[in-house]
Amino acid sequence: MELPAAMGDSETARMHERAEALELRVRQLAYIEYGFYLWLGLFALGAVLLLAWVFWPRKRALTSKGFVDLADGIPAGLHVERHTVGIIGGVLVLMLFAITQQLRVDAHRGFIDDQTARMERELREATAHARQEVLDEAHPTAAQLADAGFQARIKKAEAAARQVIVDSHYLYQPSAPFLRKIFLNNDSVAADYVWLTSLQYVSSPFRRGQKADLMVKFYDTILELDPHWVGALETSGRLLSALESSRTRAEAFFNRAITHNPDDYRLPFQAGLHYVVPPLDPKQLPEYSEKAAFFLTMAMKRKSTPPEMEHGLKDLIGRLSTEAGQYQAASDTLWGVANDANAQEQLRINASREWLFADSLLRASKWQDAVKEFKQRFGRFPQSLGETRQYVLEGSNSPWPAWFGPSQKGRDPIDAYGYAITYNPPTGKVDSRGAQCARAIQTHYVIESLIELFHNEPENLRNPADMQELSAWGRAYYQRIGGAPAPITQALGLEIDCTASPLGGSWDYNPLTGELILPPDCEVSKLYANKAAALEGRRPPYFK
Amino acid sequence: MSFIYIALNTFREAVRDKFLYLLMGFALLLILVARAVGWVSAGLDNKVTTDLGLFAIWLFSALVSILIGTGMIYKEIDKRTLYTILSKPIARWEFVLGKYIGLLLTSTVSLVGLSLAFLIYLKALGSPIDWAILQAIVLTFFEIVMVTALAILFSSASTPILSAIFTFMLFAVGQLTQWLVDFSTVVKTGSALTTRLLDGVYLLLPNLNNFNIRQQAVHATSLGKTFAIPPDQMLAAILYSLSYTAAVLLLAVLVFRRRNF
Repeated sequence: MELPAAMGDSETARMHERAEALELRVRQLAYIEYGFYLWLGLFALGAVLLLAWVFWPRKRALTSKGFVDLADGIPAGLHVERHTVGIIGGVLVLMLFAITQQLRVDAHRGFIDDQTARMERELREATAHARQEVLDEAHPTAAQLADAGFQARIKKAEAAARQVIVDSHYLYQPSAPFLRKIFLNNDSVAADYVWLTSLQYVSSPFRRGQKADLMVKFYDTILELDPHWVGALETSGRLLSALESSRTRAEAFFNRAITHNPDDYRLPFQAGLHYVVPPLDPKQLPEYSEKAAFFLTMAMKRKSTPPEMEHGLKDLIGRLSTEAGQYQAASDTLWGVANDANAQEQLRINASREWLFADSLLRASKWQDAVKEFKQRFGRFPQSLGETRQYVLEGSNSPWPAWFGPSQKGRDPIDAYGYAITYNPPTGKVDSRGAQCARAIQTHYVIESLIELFHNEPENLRNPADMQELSAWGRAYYQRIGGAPAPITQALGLEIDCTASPLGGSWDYNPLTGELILPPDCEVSKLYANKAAALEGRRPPYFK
Repeated sequence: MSFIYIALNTFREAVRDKFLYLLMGFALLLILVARAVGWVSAGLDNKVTTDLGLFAIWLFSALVSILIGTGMIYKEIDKRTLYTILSKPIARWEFVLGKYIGLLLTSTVSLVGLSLAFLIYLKALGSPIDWAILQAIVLTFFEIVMVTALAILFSSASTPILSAIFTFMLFAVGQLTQWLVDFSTVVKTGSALTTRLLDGVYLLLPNLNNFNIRQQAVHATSLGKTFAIPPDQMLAAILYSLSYTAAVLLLAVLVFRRRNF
């Protein structure tokens, strides 16, 4: 398809291309810049040696062999003649002068110009190709062609194509097939070389801003040269994860590495762990936890997984499934660990606690589903959970679980902790009181540590007057130190809101003592009373 | 059986050569330094040490064969000691075979020495030593068997420098012959003749990559394997080495017989 003159090789497009070519030229000249300082240093050293030879005063000094020129003193100590120093200096100066001239010639005629010309050609071709692809795909009419939105789409495609070319030059690295031949098919040693080379770039300023782009090229080369070098692949994935705030690139790399090593547990294990670290934005936590649970489950299914890791992994997968909102899977997994006689005692106890939490949320979520269905059918929320149950038993076609059964008529639904399943008719929100208490206990520890921080600040030396003051101070404090740690953001959100209690409403706070007062049912020993039954394999009842 | 005496004499002559010890010294240094390289590999020292150790054994054993072997027959001609030998009731093939066996003995001693040093070093460092690594060393030996024959072939026909260049080039090309097959597939000339020609060259050149199982050996344990390659494949590689070596030695005898002394 021929391009209309109005939007074809426009002046703007040419200016863009030229600007990018110049940007590349600047980057290429930077190589010479770095080299230039090195040459300059060596040139200066050569000049100093030469001057020392010419101007060093000729005084006599005593050595073991008798009097020699003082000028020969130091060189004599090194067993070289004074003239040798001068000659080396002269050779250095002349050679470096010659090399500097060679670089100048190259800068004018050779490498840089060739590179720039090639780059310009590639950019032009890529831009035209990208434009043609958009046109071929859309088959635009004349009206569409004149449309600013369509032109913007073309410009975007052109820019993306140009970026690919710029990156391919800027982040150039020898390919795996090339290295394979250079190393005479010693792929493993070639991979060692690439690995050792890559390590120096992880923290150096080289290609800062595009570090992850650079490193992923190294790691893909290693993967191609030595696909079974799991140790390096694991570390590569971890480094990629650390280099970018988004973890998708590390995940993609792990997936490529897992494809080459389908029987090795370490790669899916590492891929899972890299999602266990909480995200900066707590809203992403369910997604991250789901991915972590997915990879860790994959690792657990591998034959190579050490048996001693099994129970710990299951416990972790269970907790992650809870965070991901997959309560059924979480409840089943954690129940399995809590009731596995082969698991460590402490792990079983922890799993039973986590199971109480996951199963309570599971029960609440089932009621929530029933409430949603009710709302869809009648256009309003049910008045109570009793009405919800009546609807479930009499009107719904959904296969609800046994705990809605008629035998429980007249009894109140409870969570795994033995606490009430709470329901708010105006909002239609169902929750587990036990799970609310568990969250409140965790959050209250976080807030109390924040109160302590507030109190220890030299300008404060007192407790905050209320939670609003603490929230405002917390926001300012963490902004000052570059962001709040994950446990704080997970408990209080990115906006550090200390006012809302997981129990609903606001906290009961005593500004005199600086303590948050939890209601009596949130007392730890009372909350976890059903733990013992869970450890013995007895599920708490669904109604009271 | 005169070739045995020639072989023993060749071996005695080779072990007196200081150059052999220089090469072995470098190889040992590389094996020792491998650990230091491992230290800067971010916790992957065992793999890097094993890689570099096997690489050093392979490279320096080949260099011993090439650099000592290529001057062997030429030296006898140059110093005119060959005349005194050939004036005795010794056939030319016996001389060539004797030289080959003597050189192979030297390379074997060097290979075994380096391998022992490497394995002891690995053991001392607590790195795992398994059958796969021994398999890699055994196949390196059979590669050296072929490279030594090539060195003798060129030595019987040319000067030491040219022989060394030819042998080293064949040694390098021999590692990459698979490239020719790839080349004939990738470059679609449309000509069946070109493809056949490239395939023919591939089969004619020594395929030294058959003996390169170092990467598989390093990863055998982590992949849950006892051996780097199956015994069938190893046997085929050994038989390939022996038959190719015999052919090259016959060629060397042919060349040597045609020379006038």
